[in-house]
Amino acid sequence: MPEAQRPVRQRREVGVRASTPRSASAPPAPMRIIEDPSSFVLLAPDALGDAFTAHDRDLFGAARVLADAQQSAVLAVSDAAIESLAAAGADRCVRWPDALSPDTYHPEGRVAFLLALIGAFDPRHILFCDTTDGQDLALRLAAELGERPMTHLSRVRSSEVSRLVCGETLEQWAAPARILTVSPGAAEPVAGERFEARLLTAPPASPAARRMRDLGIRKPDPDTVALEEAPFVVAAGNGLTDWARFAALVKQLNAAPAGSRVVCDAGHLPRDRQVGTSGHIISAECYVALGISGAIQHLQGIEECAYVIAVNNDPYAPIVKRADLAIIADANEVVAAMRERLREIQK
Amino acid sequence: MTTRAMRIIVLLSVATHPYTGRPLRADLDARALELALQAANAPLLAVHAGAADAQALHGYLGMGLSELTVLEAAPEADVSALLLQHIRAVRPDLVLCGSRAQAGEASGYLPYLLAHELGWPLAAHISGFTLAADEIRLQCALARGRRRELIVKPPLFATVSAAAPNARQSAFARARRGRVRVLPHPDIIGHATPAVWQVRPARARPKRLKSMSANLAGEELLKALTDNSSKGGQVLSGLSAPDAADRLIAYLRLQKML
Repeated sequence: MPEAQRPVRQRREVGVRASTPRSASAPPAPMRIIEDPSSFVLLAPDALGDAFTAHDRDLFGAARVLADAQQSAVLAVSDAAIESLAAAGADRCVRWPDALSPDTYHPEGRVAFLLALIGAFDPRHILFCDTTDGQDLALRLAAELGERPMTHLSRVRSSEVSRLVCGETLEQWAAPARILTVSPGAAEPVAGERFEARLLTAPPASPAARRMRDLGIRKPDPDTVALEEAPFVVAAGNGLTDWARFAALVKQLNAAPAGSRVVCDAGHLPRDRQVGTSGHIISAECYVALGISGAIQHLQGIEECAYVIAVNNDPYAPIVKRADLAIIADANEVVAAMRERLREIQK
Repeated sequence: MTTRAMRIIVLLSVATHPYTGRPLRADLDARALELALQAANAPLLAVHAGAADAQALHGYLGMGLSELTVLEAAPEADVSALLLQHIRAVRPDLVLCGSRAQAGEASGYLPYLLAHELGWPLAAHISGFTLAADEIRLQCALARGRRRELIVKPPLFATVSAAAPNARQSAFARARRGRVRVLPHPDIIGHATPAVWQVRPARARPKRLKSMSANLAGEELLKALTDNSSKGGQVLSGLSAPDAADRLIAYLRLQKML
């Protein structure tokens, strides 16, 4: 699939879920202090609040690579706690102004603030994630500064940055420009070290007019949302026969309905609800498989799901190995019992 | 009150197939055109800047366009200057294009550059829009199927996300019938910035295994890297259906899905 067709998808931490908290007995990582930096590398993580994404940590890693080669300091603009900024790899940090709280949509205001920061600190590089928001800020800033950005970098090293093009068959490389957006995995996240994350006072920014009125964020309708985008998917397989109850349960759970190839072939669900290699490759936060044995093509379709729950009467079905919670029972009975329970709860 | 219909320009580019190198219609630009075609009774102009004989443009005409304007440009010309001039002349209310091209540098910079030059607001990654009397309501695609609703007064630039509806198929007869109107530009307004990138074949990079805690050393690290036995989760068997339902609901609550 060409890059542009890929659905918007949030990357999850690979392997170990979330960052492994250090045990209390372990000594704290040594702190590296850069007292007098020759210059700055500015970065704006994607997470506006406290919890950094795995992508953000890679972004910090990329900034460190560029900063360490020139005795520069990493300057992060973030509202995260000082502790987590120090662990992520920030030497200095500034806060977004009060008017730009994490839930405020005002990209033009953010760019105005970044321009003020650039005026005050003159950073050698300015880094963003190549997510929708990061890319948006980076390109707005690039247009304001009149500088061509280098985007979607798959690798960041001190002397060269590179990106994959042409269906990932070719690699473009060049010396890093000033404005960069990095893909997940472009650099290794910081580990085994802490940094100072000294809080600096932000320069005053000229206010930017709000030209776009934000009416807020609308949650998706689970019935019509594309399966790739759905956060919660309940899927049925050949082990399920009571389709009326299944449909009612999905509605009660406010989940997106889906099915294995067999049930879509049989016409119980439309083709665009099929999960698996010949259907949709999904990345839901939670996936419930009812009466699905888990053929390899189906498991490939749910590889990126964070939590998988399986209900199946065969304890040796492949889905049981994949599932975080597997219940060995008849799917129809469990569906009926869940309907009852949910109705009681709603009362 | 007199309201004139809003005018929409869709900027279309030509993509190259990653493996065969064949010219194609660009997916995101086709989605932009799809959105514009769905916005009923708005006069629609489709513009491509580049070579006039591009066969891939017929892929767009086959979607139901009767005419497509090509701003003819030499390969070394800067198309942004041409487009800017054209947009200033036509004075549309809304300019749509894909959020990222599938040829050239594909950085997504062009719409931002144009919007900045024009002094217009830009809404990024939209998945739909509706036209009202004197304002445009947009849905911006966010992760997990969420949509941000924006209201903007025209004129406005908007880039279209991959979450926008799929572009309709191109019909062969319509593609043949559609007209390509070429506006030749003998003089080059601006030269394209010389490419800074050098190209080499991509090599597969090793996949990152796991994000390891730095405190692990030696045997512990090896074990953590190679041990896959912990993959399986909790398995519950011999439960009655109501008990199973309770456990399942409790787990969903734990994951904040209920």
